[in-house]
Parts: sequence; C-alpha cells; structure tokens
Amino acid sequence: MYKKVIVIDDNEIDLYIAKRVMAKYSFAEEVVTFSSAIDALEYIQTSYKNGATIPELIMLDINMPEMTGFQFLEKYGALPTDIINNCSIIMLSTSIHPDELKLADNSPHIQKFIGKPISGDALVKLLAERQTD
Amino acid sequence: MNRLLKTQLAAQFGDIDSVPNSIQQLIETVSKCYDEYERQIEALESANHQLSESKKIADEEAGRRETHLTSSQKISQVGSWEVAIHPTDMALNALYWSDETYNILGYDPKTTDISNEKFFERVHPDDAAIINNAIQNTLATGAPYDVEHRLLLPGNIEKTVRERGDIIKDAAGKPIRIIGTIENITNRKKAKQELIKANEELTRLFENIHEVYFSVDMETYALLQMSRTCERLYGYSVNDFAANSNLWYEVVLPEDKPNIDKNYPVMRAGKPFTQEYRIQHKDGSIRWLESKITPTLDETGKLIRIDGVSSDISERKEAELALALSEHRFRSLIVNSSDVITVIGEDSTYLFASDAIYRVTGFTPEELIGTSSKGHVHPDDIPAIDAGRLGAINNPNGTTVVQYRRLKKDGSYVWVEGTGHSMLHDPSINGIVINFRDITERKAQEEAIQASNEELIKSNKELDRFVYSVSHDLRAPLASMMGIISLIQTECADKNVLGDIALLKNSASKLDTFIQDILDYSRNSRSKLHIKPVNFGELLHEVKNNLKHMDTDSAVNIKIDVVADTAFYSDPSRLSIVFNNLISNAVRYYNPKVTEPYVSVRVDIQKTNAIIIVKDNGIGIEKEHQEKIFDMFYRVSKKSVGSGLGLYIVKETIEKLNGIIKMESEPEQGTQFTIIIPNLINVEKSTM
Repeated sequence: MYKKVIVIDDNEIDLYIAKRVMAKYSFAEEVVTFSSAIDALEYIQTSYKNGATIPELIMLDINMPEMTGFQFLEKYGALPTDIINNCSIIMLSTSIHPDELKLADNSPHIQKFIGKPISGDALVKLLAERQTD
Repeated sequence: MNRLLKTQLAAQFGDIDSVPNSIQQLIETVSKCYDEYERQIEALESANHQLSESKKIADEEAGRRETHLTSSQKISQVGSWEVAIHPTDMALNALYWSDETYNILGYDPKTTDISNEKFFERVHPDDAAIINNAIQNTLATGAPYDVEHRLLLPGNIEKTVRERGDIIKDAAGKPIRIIGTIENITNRKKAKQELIKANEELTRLFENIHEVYFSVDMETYALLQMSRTCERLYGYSVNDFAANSNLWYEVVLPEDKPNIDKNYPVMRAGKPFTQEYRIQHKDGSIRWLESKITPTLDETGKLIRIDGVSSDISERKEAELALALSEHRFRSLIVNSSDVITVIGEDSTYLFASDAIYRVTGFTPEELIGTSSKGHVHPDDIPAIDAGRLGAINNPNGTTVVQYRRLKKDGSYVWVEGTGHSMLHDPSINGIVINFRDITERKAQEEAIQASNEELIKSNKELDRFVYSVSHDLRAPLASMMGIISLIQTECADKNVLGDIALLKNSASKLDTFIQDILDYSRNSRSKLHIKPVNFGELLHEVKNNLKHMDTDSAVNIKIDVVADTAFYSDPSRLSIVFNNLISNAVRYYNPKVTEPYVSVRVDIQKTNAIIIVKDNGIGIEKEHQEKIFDMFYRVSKKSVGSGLGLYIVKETIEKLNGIIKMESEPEQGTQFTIIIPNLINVEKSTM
C-alpha cells in the first residue's frame, strides 16, 4: 500500500472513480485529488516546505486546461531531487497522439501509461510491480 | 751498246787508242748489228702491243654487244633459242636458250640443262599441238612460223607467248637448225582484253545513258546527229527527228514554250545556255527536260550550228517541288505556331526568330536578330539558361528544357519554357535551335496546385489533431461511464440491476471500440511509419492484456508463439493495431459449440520477413462474405458487433507496412490469417 497518492485530472467523475477504486483495493493510505495541475504542483511544493508527507505516486491526466500533463512534467522536473527521487509518475489517458507518445518517451519521470478509467486490475498490478521492485 | 763495248775494251787495253783498228771496226759492226736487232725487237713489241690493244677493243665491243643483247631481250621480254635438226630423222635437239628464254620459261640458267622436254614441260598442255603443228609445217615447207600459245608455270602461273621460228640451211640447202624467238605477251594480251571489255562497257553505257546528244545545222535546220536514246526520252526515233526538224519544239508543253523562246536571242548571240521545260512523251506522259545548248557562230557572227544534250530531270524536279512544298508547309507552321522558334549562335547572338516571338514578347524578329539573347532573359534566370545552352552544346543528340522569364517589350517578364537542341554541327543551321512557349498559365496553375497542396497538408494536420481531440473528448466521458459501471458491478447484488448494467456496459464498450477504430484508421492513413525494433512477445502480451476487459475473455484461450532468430524492425504501434483487431475478432466470434475455443498467434521472424499466422477455431466466415470482409464498413451479419472497420483497418495498415494479408476460412471450422511483413532493418529510423 502506498502512503500517499495524488491523482490529477480535470474530470471530476474520473477523480471520484479513482478515489472509490483506490479505497476498495486498499491502494493508498491517503489519496489526494486535484482537478488542476497548478493546484497539485502548489500542494507538492507546500508539503515539501512544511515537512509534510511527500506523495510516492502521481497519476497524471494529459489533456487538461490551463496546465496540461506535459506542462506539469516540465515544472515537476525543476522540483528538488528529494521529491523526484522518491516519487513515480503514471500517465492516464484514453487516447494518445503519437506526438505525445514521443514527448512521454523523452521524459525521464514517466514510469508508464495506463488507460482510463482506473480499474481495480490496474491497481492490483501496480502494487504487485512495486513489490517486485 | 757501242759505248759499253768501248769502255770494256779501254779497261782491257788501258786506252781506247791502244785497241787494234780491226777490233774497233768489228765492234762497230757488232754494235750496228745489235742496234738493228734492238730496233727490230722494239718494232715487234710495238706491233704486238698494238695488236693486243685492238684485241681488247674488239673484246669490249663483243662484251657490249652481249650486254646489249641480254638487256634488250630482258627489257622487251623476248628470248631467243636455237635447236639442231638431226640430218637423217629430222629430230630436234635444243642447242641454245638465251637468258630471257630461261626467264620466260621460268628456269634458272645456272641450274637447268636445256632440252626439248624441259621446254614442253612449260607449255600449256592444251597448246602443245599448236607448236608441234607449226614446226612440222615449217620443216615441211621451209617457211618461218609465228604462233601464240600459253605457258603453264609452277604455281599455276599462266603466260601467253608469241613464238617465231625460221630454218637455217647449210651450203647445200639442207635444214640444219631452227632459230627462233619467244616473246612474253601476257601483259599485252591482258591489256588488249581489258580494252575490249572497256569498249563493251562504253558501248553499254551509251546504250543505257539517259541523255540525248544532238547537233543541228542551223543554216538548214538539218539534224546532223542525235543519239538513239532519244527514243527513250521522247518516244520518237532519230528518224522521226530527222524527218521533222521542228518535232522537238512541237512536243514542248504550250505553257513552257515561252521559257524556250526567251533563250532565242541568247542562242543567236552564241552564248551557251540551259533551259528547263516539260514535254509530252509519245506515250502521253509528261517529262521534265533540261537542255544544255552550245551555239557556234561563224566568223561573221552568224549562227551555224548548235550542239546540245538533253536529259530527263523529272525525278529531280518532282523532288524539288516536294521540297519546296514541304518547306512552304514548315514555314507556315513556324509562322503560325504559337511556339516561338529561335536560333542562337554559340555566343548567344540571335541568328533567327520566328514571327510568333512578336505575339509572346512584343519584339519583332528584326529587333532581336544580331543582339544577345541574354539581354532578353530575367537576370536571375541567366545561370539557368547558360547551363541549358552548355547542356545542349555538350549533348548534340539530346534536348534541354529550361523554364525562365523572358523580357517583354513593355518591360515586364513572361514565363516561358524553352527547349534547346544544338544544331551547331549542321552547317545549314550552325546554331542552337530553341523553341519556347508562354507558360504563364501553366505556371500559375502550378503555383495554385502548390498552394492548394500546402493548404491540404495543413488541413490534413488539423484534421489529424481534430480526430484526436474529438476521440479523446468522446472517449473520456465513456471511460468515466465504464468506471462507474464497474463500481456498481462490484458493489451491487441485485441481479436485475446487474443485468441492465451489463447491457449498458456492452453498449458503452461498443461505442468505445468504434471510436478507437476511427482513431486507428486516422492514425494509419495519416501518420508516417515509425520504424523501431519490434518485440513481438511483449507486444502480443500487451494486446492480450488489453483484451481482458472484453466480456467474453474467459472462454477463448489466446496462444502466443514467437520464433525470433533475428532482429525485426517495423512500426510496433501499427502491428499492435493489426493484432488487436485480429485477436479481438477471434475472441468476439468464438464458436460456443467447441469445447476449447482458442486463437493462436504464431510469429516466425526471418531476415527479410516476419510470417504471422493468426488461427482460430471460431465460427468462420461464409464463402460469400470472404471477398468483402476487408471492405470498409462491411459487416458479415446482424450478429456482427463491430463497426465494420476492423479488417479494413487491418488491410490498410498491413499495406502501409508493405506487407500482405491472406485469409482462409471455413464456416464452423475457423479462420486463418496469414500475414507477411517485410523486415525493415535496413531502413530503420528513416521515414516512409
């Protein structure tokens, strides 16, 4: 079980589903959801400053207004290494444009892609992978 | 002598005066005798000397005669010989051959002994009788003989000789020898034969010649002579012309008679002239004649005679007329053509420009000729036309095409396309022929096409983006719906609700598949190949996992078997589309009647290809549908749950990968797809 997981998605229903499924499969002790990547970034920075718990996993949607998933990744790369080294990022997507796939390939932070909606199977698999790591 | 004796006596007697007188007288006498003796000896020696001198002269003379004889025989190729006649049986025996005789007979004088047999060895076998007869006749009659016959020498050399012989008789009038000559007349004979041949040829030539020679006495208008060939030319004989001195004029076509009449004063003035005119042949045909006539005047300037030659020039005339006609035709083509024809020299100076140049540029040909063509080309295009001109010069058999802007008289430029062809090697043109035409319209069209092409590329890109956004926006709420449905499925126990929910989920996933298909189609048709190493095992397992969400997953066993001995390069995302469609079809259309439904994917990777076989034991496809299953939006039956795009996308995608796909199917037995995809290992990372 993860200690803290952040889910960033502008779709409120998907956030709701994520919360419900994660709770059902005991995925994390704490799940924090953001409908805005800007808010999520601010939250991480504040948590780090205040010495609060840093998320171990971020689930990030790509297509979002104001700040897209990739724009978030750019800012995320500038965060202190303490944060980056202890956190994985999983991209959420329904359809991926080949250009975006290329961007994702070039980003060192992305662990993998999973399709939406987040399913119980996907979460179980992630936990299993974490165990073997 | 006298003094010597006296000196001796003086030495004997001490003094000459002491010598007794008698002795002295004796000495005088002896001395005198001796002197006389010496004088006589001297005279004798002198005579002897004279004798040997004259003998020497005689010898020289004889030698000279011999030399002259030998040389003259050699030069004239006449040898001489002599045979003895036996006094009783009259048999002949060779006595002497001169050097030239040896030479003519082909013998070496130093090594050959003369004999009659040796002579007859050289006589041509067919001609031996000629000589024998001649000699027999001479022996019988005593008259000299003179015959020609052939020799046949070793090496099959044939000579012709003339032999003359005469009998020598002794004092009693009995024939004792024959002396004769042998003359090599081979060359003369040959020359004579050639002369005969040449004469025959000349005769034949005169008979076959087309020209008619004639001479007319202009005082009496009598035909002095005319060659027989007039029969061929006119159809009338020499006699016809002799009988009617005006015949030659009567056959001239009336419209051509003035051409002849106008030469009358020239003829009267004694000047040679040539005239061309048509006549009507006796057979009715019309012939073109050319007559060259040389008049002769007497000392008073009066015309007394003409000599002339007339020839049939119909063929030449017709060719000339045809040429003039075709030249006229070409000229009018050039004048009326919208293509402009120009000829420039090697230094780019205009040598010729057709009238059409005025229509295109506003310049007249006269304004251009003599000026440099470079002044009429847009400065930016000069390198292009320079290259074109050099290209044409260096490749006289080819043409070079250059598009450039040409100056108009109003200062603006017109786009033209010029085709250049070097005729520098042709002395009648000695320039580069360039024909060009106004391509403003074409250029404008090309530019419009270019612009619309760019527009198309742009809108294609926009469309691509649009498809992605729309599919994303359509799929996102669907995904949310599916998520919620899954939640309900795990938390609800009411069977009715679960049943309804399953239907809802089925519809939602069908819609999702459809959107995914459209996306795949768009992706395949628009995007370039991204060639990467392909790990079929990984790729297939991913596809298999993605299919787990399908409702029927439990029943169908997906078997994967990859044989990879070598690296394989292709576009993995496209291969993924292919496998996804084929495997999901197999899962979707499994046969519920079989106990172990399966779909097996076997991949055999080779250096040049990957051979992929996707085989199932599903419901199969009826024969009638097999042809159409790869068509767009084709669905086999009402039972079909897909969009009708799946196999169409599969086929399109495989074509994009330069591969081929083949299907075999048997209803109730199953379906097998065989796919061959080329290994693009050598074009890795390049784009297609």
